[in-house]
Amino acid sequence: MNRLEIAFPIAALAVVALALTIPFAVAAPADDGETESFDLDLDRAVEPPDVADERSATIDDRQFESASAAIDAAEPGDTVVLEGTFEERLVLTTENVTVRSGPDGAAIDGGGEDSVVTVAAENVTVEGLWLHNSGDRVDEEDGAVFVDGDRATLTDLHVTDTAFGVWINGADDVTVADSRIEGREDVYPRVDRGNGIHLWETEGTVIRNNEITNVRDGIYYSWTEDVVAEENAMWNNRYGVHYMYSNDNRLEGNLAVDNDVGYALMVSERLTVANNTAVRNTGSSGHGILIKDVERSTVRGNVVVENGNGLYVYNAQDNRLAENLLLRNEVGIHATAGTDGQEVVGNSVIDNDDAVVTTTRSVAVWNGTDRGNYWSDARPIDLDGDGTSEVHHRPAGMVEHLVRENPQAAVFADSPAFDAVRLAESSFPVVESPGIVDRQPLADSPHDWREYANHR
Amino acid sequence: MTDDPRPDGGYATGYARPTDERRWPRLRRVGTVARTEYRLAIRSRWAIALVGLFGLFGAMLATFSGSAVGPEGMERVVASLTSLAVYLVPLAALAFGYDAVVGRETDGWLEVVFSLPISRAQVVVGSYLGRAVVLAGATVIGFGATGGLLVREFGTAYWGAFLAFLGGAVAVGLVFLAVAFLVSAVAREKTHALGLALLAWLWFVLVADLLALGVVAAFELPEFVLTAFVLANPATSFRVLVLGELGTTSGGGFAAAFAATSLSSGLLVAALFAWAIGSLAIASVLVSRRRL
Repeated sequence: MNRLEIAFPIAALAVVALALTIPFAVAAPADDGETESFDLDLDRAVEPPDVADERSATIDDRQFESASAAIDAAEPGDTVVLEGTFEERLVLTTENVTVRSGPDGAAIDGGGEDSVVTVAAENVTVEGLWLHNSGDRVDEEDGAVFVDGDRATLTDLHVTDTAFGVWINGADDVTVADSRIEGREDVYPRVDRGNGIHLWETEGTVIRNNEITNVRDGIYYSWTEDVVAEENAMWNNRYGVHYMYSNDNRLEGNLAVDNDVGYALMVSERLTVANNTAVRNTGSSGHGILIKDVERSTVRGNVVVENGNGLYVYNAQDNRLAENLLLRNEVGIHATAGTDGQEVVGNSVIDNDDAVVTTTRSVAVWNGTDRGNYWSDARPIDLDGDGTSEVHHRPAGMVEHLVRENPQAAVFADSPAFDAVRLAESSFPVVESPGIVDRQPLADSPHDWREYANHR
Repeated sequence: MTDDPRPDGGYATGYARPTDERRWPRLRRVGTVARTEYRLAIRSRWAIALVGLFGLFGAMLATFSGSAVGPEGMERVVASLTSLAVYLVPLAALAFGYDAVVGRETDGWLEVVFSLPISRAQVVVGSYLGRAVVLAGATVIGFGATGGLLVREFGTAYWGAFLAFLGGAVAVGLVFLAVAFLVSAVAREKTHALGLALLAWLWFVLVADLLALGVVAAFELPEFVLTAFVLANPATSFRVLVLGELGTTSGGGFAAAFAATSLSSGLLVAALFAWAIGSLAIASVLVSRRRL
């Protein structure tokens, strides 16, 4: 026997022995923090602000018996400064009045009935108060602040233990900013809670930099227009944001984590949903962004990671879905129920269990004019170096259609037979079975998706 | 290679010791043939070539599949490795084994061996075992190197998935080696054997599944037909076996479909064994009846 003849089986046996013992020899997974830079940045536990022991309600240097007495006495232009805990419900009926907490903090306890603060005049500002313990009737708008006056400004509020957070009742140009709204976590299911910020028939309102948790819908829109919501964070709600019958609104730079649905866009037109983040929205419906009966809207630049469906598109018409990152969702894009005319371009669809699920019986082309999307499971071949592949990609083609119609065919997933059908579909465009086709898939992802560590 | 002074590789000396014949004579004879076959395969560089082939493809896949992050990425890479092995391992096994009978006949080797006091079936089994050791060893070493890369990248949290893949790859290699012996026993000329081997590869790797897929699409089928389709194809059995071990990461509703069939890991392993033993048995019978 020469050396190789002896060495070969010894090497093989050594590899087998190594393979069997390696789990015991090597420590836990090499979790070396390289990919930890994906920070969800949520302050999940925040204590209510400190409140002064001494109770005082002042306008300039005049002291009042109670907060209500001060507010009733206020003239337009006055500022009511509150400190300490007040067990009363405030009703603001004089326009152009500011109610704010003093340096030592103020809390308003609504006593478990109705709304804690009612704004019934224009140009009112409420600032820096801790509002808690409203009534619990979700059919009667019980909440922290009920706004019935135009141009109200609510800032730096801390709301706990209320049914609704802020209810805007037909008032226009309201601002809600820098506030934290914590609903009643013990009310379950989530649909029995009130909404965080409830918008009804408002125009020109701005919702900025708020934190909303444990409510039904973080921000709920009905019959509103031209509302801007930006930099808000919503978690542990039913829906992070929920649009109904609300056109021409703008949603930008928000964060929705651990809700049933991150952003639910329904029955609305001309929405702009840009640069938002939706992570781990895996509730009973479980969508990152739900687009249902929505027309002529733009969903652009959003980061959608580890949700049930990344984008769930239901009977939506003529929308632009562009430059979104769909990463590690169960389904990247689920398009169903007569969805048509979408412009789907510049998205990255990466490492989803299924890239696309669709029920369409025609061929839908997902391209812009000359560039398509990036698909991690495509095999792009870019011969001329223009960044797009010359080979079509069928994220949902014949085999996906087949598996949906005959679930048992999934036993052949990943098989050479599947590969052959896919190859035929992408190489011979004559063979166009119903489904989704990307005629110019991108060779490289336009997104820095590797910075999003796995949180699943 | 040339430091062995015996020009015949020690074959004759194996038979020069009749005292060893008393205990387990058949086993010893088979062992001698196997050892010879093994040494010939090593000397003709088959072992090195196979290790290089598996090692190269596996390492390329492990290096360039950059889309996997976190320990779970291991399962995705193993799924890709499985897809690769479904093509590569049967092809390598068929190429390695297609000349085992008909090639040896052309060389005149078979005539010599059959004149020795050893049954033809024993020669076939011995040859198979000798080559099987080379193929299994090359699979283990070649893909084992890939495993090393994976451990460095992902740790050992999902090591079981890789072990399932490695075991499956060895098994499917041995099955297709047996199929290659069968092809070699059927063919009258070496070129025919090569053609038949390629046809067998095409059938098992691609055509059978395509047909099955077409049948599944066209008819409402009871569940056992699907099970039969999988068991009737060792390449598919291997793929289903490994992907079944991986759980849900392979996507495409595979786990649900797998659960809906009566397939189990044990059944799939049994099917692979049956394929190897069955093919080899038929090959032995054919060789026994063969006119040289």
